[in-house]
Amino acid sequence: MTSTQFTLKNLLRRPTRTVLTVMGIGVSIGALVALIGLAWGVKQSWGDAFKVRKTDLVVRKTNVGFAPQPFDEKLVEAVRQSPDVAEAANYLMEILSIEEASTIIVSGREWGSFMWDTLDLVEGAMPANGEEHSVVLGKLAAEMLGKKPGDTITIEVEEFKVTGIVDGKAVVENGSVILSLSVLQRLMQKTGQVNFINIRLKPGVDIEATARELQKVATGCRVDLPDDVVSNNDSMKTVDAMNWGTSAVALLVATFGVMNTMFMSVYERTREIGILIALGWHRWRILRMILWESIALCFVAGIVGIILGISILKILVLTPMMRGKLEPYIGWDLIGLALAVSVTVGILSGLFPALHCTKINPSEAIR
Amino acid sequence: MRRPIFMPAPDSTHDNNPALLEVDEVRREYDDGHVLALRGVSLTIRDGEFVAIIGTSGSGKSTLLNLLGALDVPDAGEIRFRGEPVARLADPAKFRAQNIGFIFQSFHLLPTLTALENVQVPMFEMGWRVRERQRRARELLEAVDMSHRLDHLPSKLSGGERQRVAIARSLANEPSILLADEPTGNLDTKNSDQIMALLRRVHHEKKNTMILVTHDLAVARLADRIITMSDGQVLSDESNSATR
Repeated sequence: MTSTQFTLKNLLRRPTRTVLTVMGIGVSIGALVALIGLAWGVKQSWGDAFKVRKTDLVVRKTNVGFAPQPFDEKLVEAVRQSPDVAEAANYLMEILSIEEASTIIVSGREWGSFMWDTLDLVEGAMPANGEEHSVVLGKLAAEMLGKKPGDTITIEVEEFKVTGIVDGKAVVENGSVILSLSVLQRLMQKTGQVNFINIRLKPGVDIEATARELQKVATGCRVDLPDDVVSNNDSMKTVDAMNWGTSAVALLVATFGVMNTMFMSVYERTREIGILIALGWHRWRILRMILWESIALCFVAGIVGIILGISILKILVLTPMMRGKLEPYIGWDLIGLALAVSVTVGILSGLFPALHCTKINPSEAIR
Repeated sequence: MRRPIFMPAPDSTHDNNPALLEVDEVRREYDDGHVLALRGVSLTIRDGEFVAIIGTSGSGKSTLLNLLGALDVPDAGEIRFRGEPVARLADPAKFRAQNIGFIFQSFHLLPTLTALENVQVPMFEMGWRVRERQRRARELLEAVDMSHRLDHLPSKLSGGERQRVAIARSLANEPSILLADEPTGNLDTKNSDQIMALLRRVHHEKKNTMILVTHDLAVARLADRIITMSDGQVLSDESNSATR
C-alpha cells in the first residue's frame, strides 16, 4: 500500500459525499473556464480579425462600449503622411439587430481599400462600386440570417441587396455584414465619422516606434497593435474584472464547500487519526495526508470543471448572442490556469482541517 | 511446526535485566484537578518482563498505559525510558514508532484498509519500500495464523481475527515494548484464550517487554508479574510464580 492508495481509499469511503463535493467545485471551475474562455476568446477573435486583414496598427478611441466612439475620418489623411505607413483605411463598425439575428456586426469598409482584398468570394459577387446599396455577408452571417446572393436584408429601415457571400478567414469577419463605408455612414447618419483606422506599415518598419510616432498625430485616439485593441478596450477591461470577480466568488464558495467536507471527514475520523498518532505517525505526515486528500479532491474537480467549462463554451458560441462574434478560447494555458486554481483551492481548503488534525490528543481520541 | 515471528532471544531472568521503564511519582489529573486518575504512581519495568496491570474500571490502569506509551504526559512526576525522561523526547512519534506496539480492546483497525494494509500502517514511519512493507506484513499475518484473510476488510473478520491482525500490526516495527489495553475485553472465552496464548507465544519468541492492562484476574495470571491498582495508586506489585 502506498500513501496515494491510502489517500484514495479515504476519499472513496464516502463516495456520494466525494462526488457531490467534486461536482460543487467542478461547477465553480467550469464557470471560471467558461468566463475566462469567453473573455480570452473575444480578445483572440478580434485580434485575429485585424490580423487576417494584415493590419499592423489600429487607431480608435478607448471609450466604454464595444463599438468605439466615432471620430473624424479626416484623421486618416494625417496618418497617411507618415513615411512608415504603406496603407491606411477608414472603418466604421456597428453592432445592430438585423431581422432574425438579435445582434450582428455591421462592417463599413472604405471602398477600394486593402480591407476588401482579404475577403474571398465564396458565392455571388462583390458590390460593383462604393455607392451601391448592397452588402456581402460573411459565411456565418449568411447562415445566421438565412440569406443567399440575390436576397435582400433590412438594416435599420433600409433594404439592401445581398450580392455575395465571403470567407474572411476569421470568425468576426465571417460573422459580419460587410458594406461600403460611405453607405453605412449615410445609413447610420454618421457621415464623415469612423471608429477605426486600419494601418499597414511598410516592410521592415519598427512597429512600436511607428505606433509612438502616430500617437502624436492621433489626438484623442489610441494607436495599438491588433492584439491590444480588445484588451485595452475599457468595456473589455470591465468585462474582465466582472469575470474574475464572478469566478472569485464562485471559487470562494467552492473553497468553503471543500473545507466543510474536509472538516466533516476529519471529525468523523478523529479516532482513526488518534490511532495513527498512537501507531507512531508524525503529525506532519497526518497534515500531509489530509492536504493530499483535499488537493486530490480539487484536482479531480478541476478536470471535471474543465470538461464542463469547455462544454459550456461550445454551447454558448452556438447561441444567437455569441455566434459570429467570437471563437471561444480553449488553450493549454487556460487548462493549466484552471488546474492551478483547483490545486490552490485544495491547499487553502485543506489547510485548516489538516492543522486541526495535528492538535488531536491521541489518548482522548482513542478512548 | 509453527514458525517463530522473530528469532527467540536467549532466556534470562528479568530481575537482573536493566530497567526499561521507570515510573517515578507520576500524577495525572483531569477536569482541572477534579478527577485524580493517578496519585503518585512509582514502579520499574525491566527489559523482557510480561507485566499485567489489573484493577477495576477507573483505577487508573489505562491512564498509566497511555503515559507509558507517550500518548499522554503526566501532570507531575517522571517516566523514563532506558533512563531518558520520556517528556524530554525530541520526537515522541518516532519513539512510539520504533519502540511501542499498541494492542487495543476495540482492535482499532482502520475500516477502509484490508488486514494486509492495516499491518503496514505503522511501517510508513520506518522509511521501508512498499515491497518490503508488504513482505513483512504478510509474514506477520502468517505468524498469527491470518494468512488466509490478507485481503479482508476488518468488517469481514471475527473479533478474534481482528485482534490477531491488531497483534500483527503491533509487531510491525519490531518494538521493544508491547502495550495491550484489555486485549481480550471484547472477545468470548474461546477467542480470549487463543489471543492470550498468542500473546504468550509472541513474548516467548521475541522476549520483548509486554505490559497488559486487564480487569480479568484469569488473564492477568498469565503474566510474570501482576501489579494491582486501585483509585489511581498501586496496591500491590507481585511476581507470578505460576508462570516461572
